[in-house]
Order: sequence, then C-alpha cells, then structure tokens
Amino acid sequence: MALYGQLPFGTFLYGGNGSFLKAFSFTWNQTQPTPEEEPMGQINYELTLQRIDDENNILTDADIMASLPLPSDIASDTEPLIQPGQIDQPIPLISGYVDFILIIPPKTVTMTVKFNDTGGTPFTLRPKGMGVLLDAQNITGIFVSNPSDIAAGPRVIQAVRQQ
Amino acid sequence: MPLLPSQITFFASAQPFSSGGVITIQPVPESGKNNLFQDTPWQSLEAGQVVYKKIFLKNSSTTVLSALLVWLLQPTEQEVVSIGLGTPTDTDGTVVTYSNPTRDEGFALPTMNPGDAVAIWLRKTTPPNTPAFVNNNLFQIALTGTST
Repeated sequence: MALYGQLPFGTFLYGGNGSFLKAFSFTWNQTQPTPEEEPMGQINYELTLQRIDDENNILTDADIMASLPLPSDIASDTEPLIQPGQIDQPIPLISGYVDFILIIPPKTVTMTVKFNDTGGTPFTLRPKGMGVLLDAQNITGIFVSNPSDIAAGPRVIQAVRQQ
Repeated sequence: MPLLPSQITFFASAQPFSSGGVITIQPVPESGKNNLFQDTPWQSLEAGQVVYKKIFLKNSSTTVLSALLVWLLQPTEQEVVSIGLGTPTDTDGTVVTYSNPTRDEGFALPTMNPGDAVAIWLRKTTPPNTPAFVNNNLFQIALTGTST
C-alpha cells in the first residue's frame, strides 16, 4: 500500500490478510467578496434618517426627515473580523463623542452586539436580519461576540456630525 | 468476515458545526463539498484563521481493528490541517496536542473493538496572507490497519 499522492474519492482497499486502507476526503472553498465588501479608500456618507411612531407608521418627511452630511474625516466604515468563539470583542470608537452608529449584520453567521459594557442585553445580528442604528451620543463601547465556528464580522459605520 | 467500507466511518460531535463534545448519530459524509469544513471567509485569507473540528472514527464492523495508522494528505490550497486525539467528551480543541503525520510516519490510533469510537480533533490553519484559492481545497485522511 505504498500510496503517496492524492487518493481517489472513496478509496477502500482490502487485502486477504485483513489489512485495509480507507481514504476520507474533505472539500471546501473560500467565500467571495461582494462588491460592497471591497475595501474603500474614501468614505463619504449622507444618511437619511426616518422614524416611525408607536404604531409603526412612517412619519412624514416634513416631520422628521433629515439629511446629515458626513465628511470622510469624521466617519468610518469597517468590517472587523471576529474570530470564531470570540466573546465581547471590543470595536474601537472613532471618537469619544460619536453621533451615529450603524451596525449591519454579517452575511453568513449570527452574532450579537452589546453597547457600553459587556453586561448589557445583547442585540442579535442575523444574516439578512435587521441592523442596529443608534443615536450614539452616549455610547462608550461596542462589543461583538461570534459564537459560530467561522471568522466573520458585522459592518460597523460610525459618524460624527459635522459641527 | 470481510471488512466493508461502510463499517469504518466518521461521526460528528455534538457542539455546533462538530466543534467538540460527545459523539452524535450524524455521519460525516466521506466526500463532497463542505462535508466538514465550511468555506474559508475571504477576509480570513489575509487575516489568518484557525478552525477546530472534532469527529469520531467508529468501528461498526464485527471485527477488531488494530495496527491503525492515520496520515494526512494536506490541503491542496495553502492551508494546513493537523490531527490530534480527543476524549469522548472534551470540548476545547485548543488544548489538544496536534501533529501532521505523513505516510512515512503515521499517527497511531488505539485498537478498536466492534462498536468502539475514537475521538479525533482536526485543526485547520489558514496562515495570514494566504493567496485566493485557485480551486476547491481538498484535504484527505488515510487510514490503514488490520481487521481480525
């Protein structure tokens, strides 16, 4: 059984003297980045915020719409990679006084995020689920946990309103 | 009685994604894409990643399997898989001693009586700055022994 190279799928050899060889094959690939996941050299946002009332009615533009120009030097868009099993990984804030934080769930795994400290109630970030948008002026910390077995990360957008 | 290929199989462990714990009744397919490892996130090719899997090799035959040796045919892309022995219940793959046995060395497994199962940990390492995969990554475990 002097076999050194790759073995054909399903290899099973059985000799009359009871000796045997069996091969198990495992195959995988890599995920592919989508265009919006490509690294960005320059960040420039204009966020439009819309609010709903207690009955989930979208309030009118005249009531609450506001456009907030966010120059690139006071905004960031990152996708920090959280290793599998990592609990309460802190995400650096871009400023001690962040106006808005938008967290978009990862595309493949479910994660959780807590704010201010690690003792709070976690928000669950499910693939294709809802993100978290915060008026973040009182936020002092972001902590992300990845209970899955693959590295992944949410998209974290932070902005400080232009004064 | 001749040994049949279906009588030597892997079974998943109980933690999510077969990442540790006790044996389950879920067989690990012997081939096919993502039959054990999920696709490596593209971000991890640059940053690096380590994934641990625990699987159980089970002797479902009526014979004793002895002189068992395992060796690895390393992934065809630039990742590395190592193997270590577990216990029936352990849950932490990071504390296991791993090796990378080749055909010339082999990794000895204990004799397996009918119905026995041996816990095996696999550690898949994606080094930082790994190039994008050209093809599907293929890794193989070869097992030799004697059935009596």
